[in-house]
Amino acid sequence: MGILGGEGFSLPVVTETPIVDVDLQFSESAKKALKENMNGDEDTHVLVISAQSGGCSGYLYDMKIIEDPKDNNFQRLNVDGIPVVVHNKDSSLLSGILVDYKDTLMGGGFQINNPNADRSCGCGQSFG
Amino acid sequence: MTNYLNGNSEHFILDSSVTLLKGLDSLKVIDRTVSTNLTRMDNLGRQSTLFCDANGRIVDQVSIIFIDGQLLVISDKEESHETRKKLVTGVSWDEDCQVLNADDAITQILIVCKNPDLVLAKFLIESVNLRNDRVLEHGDLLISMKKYNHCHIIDIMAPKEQLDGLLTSLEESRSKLGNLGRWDFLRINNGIPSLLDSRGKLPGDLGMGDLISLDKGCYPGQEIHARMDSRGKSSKQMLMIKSETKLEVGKILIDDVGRIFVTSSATNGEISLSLAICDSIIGDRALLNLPDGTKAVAEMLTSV
Repeated sequence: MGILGGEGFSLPVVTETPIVDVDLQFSESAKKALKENMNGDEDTHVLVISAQSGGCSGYLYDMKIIEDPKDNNFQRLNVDGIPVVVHNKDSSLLSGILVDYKDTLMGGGFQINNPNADRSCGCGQSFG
Repeated sequence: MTNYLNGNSEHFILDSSVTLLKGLDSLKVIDRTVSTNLTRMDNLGRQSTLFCDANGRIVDQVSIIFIDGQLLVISDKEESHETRKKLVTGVSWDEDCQVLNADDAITQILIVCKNPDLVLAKFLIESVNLRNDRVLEHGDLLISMKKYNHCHIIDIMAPKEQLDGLLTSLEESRSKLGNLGRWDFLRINNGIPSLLDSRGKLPGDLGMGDLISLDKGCYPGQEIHARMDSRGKSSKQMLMIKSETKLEVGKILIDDVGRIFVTSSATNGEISLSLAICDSIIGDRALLNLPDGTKAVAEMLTSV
């Protein structure tokens, strides 16, 4: 069977993620860019904003347009008609962020300003 | 070289924390957070690594065993809550990784010995089959071994329900069960820093540079580690100090040497051993005049 005892081995799952009601802000340029990227798929797709470990400061932001997961573990917001979702596990890390969009050739694209982060990396993708 | 062992071997039940990471993305999740590149680990591989803060300072030192697609993370009990929190919050919503608490299921036993084969004979294992970077799966036990200057240390991960039987077998092999104070004494003698020594320190100052993978990209502390590396060798040195009186943990000012910071200290009743960080480079071996008028011998630990 080995030390992990096969399928019958059961251990308590660690869950350490406080859930808060998520509040996101979008700048006008971010709303405009989001609409362009959604390209009319608002009825079937959502923008998911998430966080995962990594980067120089501990966590990395991620943004994806995906098919609507229709999952109760996501909190749903409506940003000028665009559905935006944040998973409950990321709610405390991401609530309060301002999503901006910079239309420049270098360093442009969506950018996140997180007033709750103690520190952030120069690249803008990592926070902690 | 003195190994200070009572007989051929002594064994210790460590108060370690054991976490199991289960799921296809487990290796990816932990690799993003630690200082060492883990992506090349294969089944039954074992690797030491560090959790560091954004300032590059050590917050936990862990050992990872890759087994059947799952990861056993063995860490310091004191930091286990924070380490597990980092792992859980670091899993992305679309990743397959569960963090499980195995503290009540798996235990860690260390055997410090002169001749490992005298202990291993009871388990029908030969020491030539044991390595430090791999575990040997022996029934329900995971066994690895590392050779130090003064002795060998055999590391056994075992299901808790088998602990009594394992301790009986070790006693029958004439190994003596020791307490954690005794383990501290022997680990200091072999220059093995614990989290007591490393917490809040830069890896390079403790000779832990081999636990830093500068080619793996970003992880918390990576920028600082890269900057330290580009500046060359650390200006600090890890020392093992042998003295008649037990040194207290903290700063000591020593004539002709300067400031040293004692990080841990233990005694066997006759002699005291301490690990310390020295602000200046003193060479391989030096005689120290302690503030109380006694003398001590300091040895530089280049590799740990």
